[in-house]
This record gives sequence, C-alpha cells and structure tokens, in this order.
Amino acid sequence: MNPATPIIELREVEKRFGALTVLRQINFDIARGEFFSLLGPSGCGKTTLLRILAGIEQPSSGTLLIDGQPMAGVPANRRPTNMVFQSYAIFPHLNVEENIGYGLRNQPLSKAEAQARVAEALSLVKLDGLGTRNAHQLSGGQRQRVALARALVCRPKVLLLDEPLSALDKKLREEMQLELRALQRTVGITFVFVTHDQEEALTLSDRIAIMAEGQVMQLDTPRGLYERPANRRVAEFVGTMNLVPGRLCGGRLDAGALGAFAGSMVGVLPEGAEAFLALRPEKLVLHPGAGSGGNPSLAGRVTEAAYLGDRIHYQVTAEGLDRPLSVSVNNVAEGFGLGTPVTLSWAEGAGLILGP
Amino acid sequence: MTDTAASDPLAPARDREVLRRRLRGYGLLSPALSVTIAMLALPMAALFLLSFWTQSGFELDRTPTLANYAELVRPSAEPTVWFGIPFHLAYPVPAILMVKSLVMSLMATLAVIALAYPMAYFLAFRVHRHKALWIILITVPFWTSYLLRVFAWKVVLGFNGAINSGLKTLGIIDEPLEFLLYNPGAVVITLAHSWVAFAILPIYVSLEKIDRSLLEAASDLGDSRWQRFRRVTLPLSAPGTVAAALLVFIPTVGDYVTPTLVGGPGGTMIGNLVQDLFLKQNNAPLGAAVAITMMGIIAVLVALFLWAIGYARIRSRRL
Repeated sequence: MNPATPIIELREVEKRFGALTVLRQINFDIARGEFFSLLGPSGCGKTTLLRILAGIEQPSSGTLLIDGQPMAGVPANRRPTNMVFQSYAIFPHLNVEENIGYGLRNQPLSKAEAQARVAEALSLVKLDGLGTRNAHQLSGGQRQRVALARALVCRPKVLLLDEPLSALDKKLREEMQLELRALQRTVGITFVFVTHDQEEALTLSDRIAIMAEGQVMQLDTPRGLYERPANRRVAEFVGTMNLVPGRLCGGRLDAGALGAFAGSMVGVLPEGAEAFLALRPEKLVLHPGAGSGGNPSLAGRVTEAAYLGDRIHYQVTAEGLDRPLSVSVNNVAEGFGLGTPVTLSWAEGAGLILGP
Repeated sequence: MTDTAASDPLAPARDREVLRRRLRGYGLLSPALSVTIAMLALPMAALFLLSFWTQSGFELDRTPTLANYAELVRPSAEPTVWFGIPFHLAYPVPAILMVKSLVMSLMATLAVIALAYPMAYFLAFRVHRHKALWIILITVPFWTSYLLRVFAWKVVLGFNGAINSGLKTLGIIDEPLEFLLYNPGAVVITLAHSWVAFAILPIYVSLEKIDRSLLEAASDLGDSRWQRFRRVTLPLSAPGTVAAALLVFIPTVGDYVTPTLVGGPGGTMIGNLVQDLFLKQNNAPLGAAVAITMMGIIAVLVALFLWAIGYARIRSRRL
C-alpha cells in the first residue's frame, strides 16, 4: 500500500440505534503513524465510532476503509485493528503471559516465536518478570499495561484505545500519558484514542476530532483547536474561554453598552448574527484602577483569586456581563486583592469572533 | 511481627470485635444449623452406628462389628460376570448395583448438562427482555409433584403410551415398542428431565456474570465465535457447570423412586437395594453399611473429579 494513503478513511458514516441517531456524517481520514484522538463529552458517539472501527459495531450507512480495504462485512476478528478496552477486559482465567499471547494463537507463529513476541511485549510495557502473575493479582496500572501489550503484540495496523486511562488516579494517569506517547513513537503504529479529558487529548495527540451529538465539530491539531476554535462550543470544551456575547456588525462584535470590539473572524457569519468575542485567560492583561487601560478594554472588579504558585487565576466581574471573566497572570508582580477595581485589556488581534 | 501485635494498644478491642462478629455469624446460621443437625447429622450418625451392628432374626445384635462391610467385599472363587466385568464377590449385588448406578447417573448428568447448557446460554446471551419471566417459565415443571412427573414419563414411554400410539397412528410400527419403558434408558431419560431445571440456574448465573467486554476482546484478538466460546465462555462458566453437574450427579446416584416406577427389573439402582434391605429383607444394618459405603464412594469420586478439572484454580479466580 502507498504510504501516502490514509490508514483510515471514513465516508458519510452514520449509526442509528432504532430511532436514535448516534453518529451522523462522519467524514475524515486518519494518517499513517498518527496519534489521533476522538474527544467529546460522554454520549457524543466517540466510543461507538471506535467500536465501528474495531468491527464490534457495524455502521448503519457509509463506508469505512482501513489501509485502503473496505471493511463492510469484515468481522472484528479479521480486521487489522486491536483494541484496549475501557475496562481492560483482562481474561480472569489466564495469567499475564497467557493474556498477552491470546491473540498470537490466531496467527501462524511457532511456539518459540510467540514466546519471544510475548517476552518482547512484556518488556515494552515494563512488566518483565510478571508474566506468571494471575489477572486478579494486578494493580490498575498493571492491568492497563497488560491490555496494551495484549493488543500491541498482535502488531495491528491501528491500535484503538477506549478511555484507557480514565480508571487510573491522576499521578499514574499523567505518567501513563507520557509513556503512551513514547510507546506510540517507538512502535510507529497509528493510535486512535477516545477520551473525554481535553487536557489528555491535547497532551497526547497529533490531531483531535472534537465530537458532540454524534457529529465532528472540528478536526485540527491541538494548537489549532486551542487558538482557532470553530465555534463557541469547541472554545468552551477545549481549555477555558471568556465569551462576550453580542451581534456581528460591520466586521466587529457589537456588545451593546460595552462597546464594539474588533477581533479575527473564525468562519463565515452573516451580518447581524449572534456571535461571541472569545478571549483566552492568558491573553488578558490586568491593570489597577478603572479606566486606566488602553483600547480595547473592559472595566470590572476582582471577585475571586486562586493562587497556583507559578500563576494566579483571577475571576473579574465586568459590568454588563453575566459571567465573570477568567484571567491568568504570571506570578511576578504584586497581586490584586478581592474587590479591587481593575481594567482588562488585550491586544487587538488576541480576540476571536465566533459563532455559537 | 509478633512484637508489633503485642504492643498494639488496639489489639484487644479488635479481638473482641472479631469475636462479636463471629458470634453474630453463628447466630444467623443457627436456625439452619439446628435443622441440619436434627434432620441430617443425627440420622446420619445413627445410620453410621447401625452399620456396625448386625441383624439376627428379628433382633438387633448391638456388638460392634465390621461384618456388614466384610460381607460387601467377601471374595468368591466363582466370579459373577455382569456386562463382561467379573465381580469376584460372594455377594456381588451391591457392587454391581453401585457401578450400574454410577454409570446411569453419569449418563443422566451428561444428558442434563447437554440440555441445560444451551438453555442457560440462550437465557444469558439472547434474552434481553423479560428475563425473570423466562426463569419462572423454567420452574413450571416444578409446579407438579416429582412423582407426577415420573408418572408422566410412564405415560409417554408406556406400552400404550404417547410414543407408541403416535408411531402406530402414523403407521411406522405395527406392534408397540417394548424397549421404551422398564429399562435403564427410561430411568436415565426420566432423571435427566427431572433435574434439568436445577442445572439451568447455576450455569445461567455463571454465564450471566461473564463481562461482555471479555467476549468482545476475544473477537478483537482474532477469535471466531467457536474459538471464543471454547477459550473464554466455556472456562469462565466452568464453576456453574461443575456445580450443576454435582447437583445432579450426587442425588441421582441414590435415587430409588424413578427406578422403581420406570426402571423395571433391569433398571434397579443402589437406592432400591438399600430400600429393599431396610424394608423387605429386614436387614437394616447391612442396608446402612451399603448406604455408608455408597456415600464414601461418591465423596471420593467427587473429590477426584474436582481435582482432575483443577477446581482449586477455578475457585481462586475472581471475576
């Protein structure tokens, strides 16, 4: 196969359960060797899409190609994919080695070859010496590694991961994120990773598809998603975003009494449409006193301050806005006390104008 | 370790708590325990004692002796041959009936598992709605008495029974088939039917407990449906299947009602002999010895069976 062709191609894939449509108009490609994430809140269809890739579910319509081959009618056991399940699905009646070697029994390998592959996989996930442990003697992190090794040992073209880190505690999760990323670079296999944790997706992925209500809202690199979110929902889902509501008026956002703000437009919106000025917390600058900033600016009062060590997060309630604005400031200068009148300003190009 | 335990100021309180909990456990057990002691352990002890006495005419001779057990294994130069197996015993009836009962029960157990497993599988994996209703339907045969169910088989298999008259009406046979009833086969069929519902539930429970993602994982790792069944479903349902097999095998070895009603002369089992010794031949001590020996043999066989299938490993799993 031509290495330039995508490993996964999805064309107009839809999935319906009875009257309920859980996936609609899924159209995208995943490149070879990519770490690709499906990110979205629970119930957005991301796990269903992963299960369609695995062959556990069948799409109601549309086509799926893996490595150029149409997958219609190809059952899970004959697809070049392997999956790490959310529950890990470790076979309780088999030990670690037998679990990892499970899939190799279905491949034309000699006993010695299979054993060598299992040993290699064990050391790849740093479980050397634990091969004869029983499944119930393993910790959560170890089970996760066994599940990973069991899938990787089959050398799939695509590894599918269904929220594999969600059951681990925070510290272990962060460790595993780094390991997973390093592992993906080592083995060079395409990873398709499902998560509802935006931080995890940003940390790990080459590209992310943001899903909501069965549709892909935006597909971009982590930087692209953070800096140019396609709409308000994506903006709110990825990181923290301050939103000033208003209407589009002559290329600027008319926010009524607060004034009109310029910003870089994302997408095409009709004149007079409902729109938002979107500002990331770190793009805002705080000045003491009201009316002391340049333009553009907003006046308000500090209502909450969270000391995070390297940074301080302020909540500033601006007059005329329902929700307080989040401001993140480097912890270098003197802080602002609660109730202090402040002015928020930002560089002209830092604000985005988004649709809902 | 002992030092820390001794110096632990909380140890006495903890010991008291453990004791309290243990007592509460016995408290909860006591109704069942007292019934078990009164209705099972005491009669069993009496039976055990009886087996060391002897019957002389109408009197019980209470001198402890192993004579009854010796009678069961008393050798004879002239072997009694039964189905090609020579029994070198002076009184071969108990031994022959024992072997025969074990074989018949084994066949009934195999038939029960073969019937119950697919039903339990269907219930666990294919029925998604009204599961409770299905389980209640399985118990429907129990709404009539055991005796009636056995009699029903007499009606089905009998000389003028359902099968014979059906085949005659269809013109397939001219004369009623006589080999249907009053033989070991009829006993096995009847036993299997009577016990199948008991076997469905434990198998169903162990199948129902299997995490569906394990089956998906097996498919994902390249197993066909059949391989997946053999490598995941079957081993994980082993505890329930073993329980079901024992639940059927152990009581059917000693059954005497079914062989009495549908077994005829050729279908008698060890239970019939015990009943006969107690009630007709007026030799309760020998009957007791036969019963105790039978219990011992079954216990040994079950232990061997559990050891052979590696039950310790199955039990140590946590699903």
